[in-house]
Amino acid sequence: MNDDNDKFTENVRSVLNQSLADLDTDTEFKLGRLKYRALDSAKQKKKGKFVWGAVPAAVVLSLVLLFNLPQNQQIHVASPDVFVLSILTAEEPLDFFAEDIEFYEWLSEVMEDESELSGQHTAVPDIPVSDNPLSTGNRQTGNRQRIIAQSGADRVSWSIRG
Amino acid sequence: MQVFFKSIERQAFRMALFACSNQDDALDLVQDAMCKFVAKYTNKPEEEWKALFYKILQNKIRDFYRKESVRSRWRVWLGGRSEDDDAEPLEQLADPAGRTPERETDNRQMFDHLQQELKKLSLKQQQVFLLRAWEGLSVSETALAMSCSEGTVKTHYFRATEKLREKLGEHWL
Repeated sequence: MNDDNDKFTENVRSVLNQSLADLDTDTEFKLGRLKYRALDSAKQKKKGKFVWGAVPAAVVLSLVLLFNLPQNQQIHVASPDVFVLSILTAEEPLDFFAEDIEFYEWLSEVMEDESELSGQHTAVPDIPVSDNPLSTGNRQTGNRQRIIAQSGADRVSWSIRG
Repeated sequence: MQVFFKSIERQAFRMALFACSNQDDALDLVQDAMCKFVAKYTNKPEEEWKALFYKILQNKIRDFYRKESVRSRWRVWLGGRSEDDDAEPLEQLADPAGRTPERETDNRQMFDHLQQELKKLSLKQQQVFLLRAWEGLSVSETALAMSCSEGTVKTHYFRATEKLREKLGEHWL
């Protein structure tokens, strides 16, 4: 019984398989076309999903940028690099800061000390005119020293600025 | 995916044609099944594709039969019932369009004879027989494709085989 069933099933399968070869070319062509149409429809759906998925993503991204960007800008504004800004906005060429900055800093300090010392000389209280007959001459001497110190500081500053 | 479709498209078309007896309807059913399969099941393991594709195709065929039954309700309900135990009208529906052989070759005659007898089977018996005997699906795969239990598959397959053996005659054995 099982052998008969197997043989019967085998015969049926054989006849059905042969029937596939009898399909006309028009039907074969239509089958091939609808197969590609089905595959194309899947690709189009994927594209559609991407577009519809991109819209909310873009909205979310724009909202995040909208609410976070000003905060970030505030952070940047709150911490400016003053030293870099001063270099960039200085009148001196950038080579000045790259090459002899230490020497000029030392020179500037020395000149500041000198000017302070000159200031101390001038800070000495002047002798009252009534007590000192040469008071006019002393005052003139203090002014001359102050002018000399100032002109020295100006010269150093001029040489620093080139 | 393309290779898979290439391997089953002609069998699927034949099975749909056995079910609906109209070439254009059969092509539409196969196309709908392919589109739905691509949309839903491409991420499934490849070994499950065959059963899943035929599950979709069987659903499409059932939908087609439902629409047809609405169109020809009176003919269905007034038509004679077979000796099958199942009371579902769709299962009792025999194919209305019986074709006569047009070609003279033996194979063609045998195919036409088989086709006629297959169409006389109920839809479930016909499709279960084709899935099991032709497509080589297992009982469980056929049950998945037909959306029924394995016991129902065995019953339908046994009855279909018995009827076909009886109708087709001794020279098929």
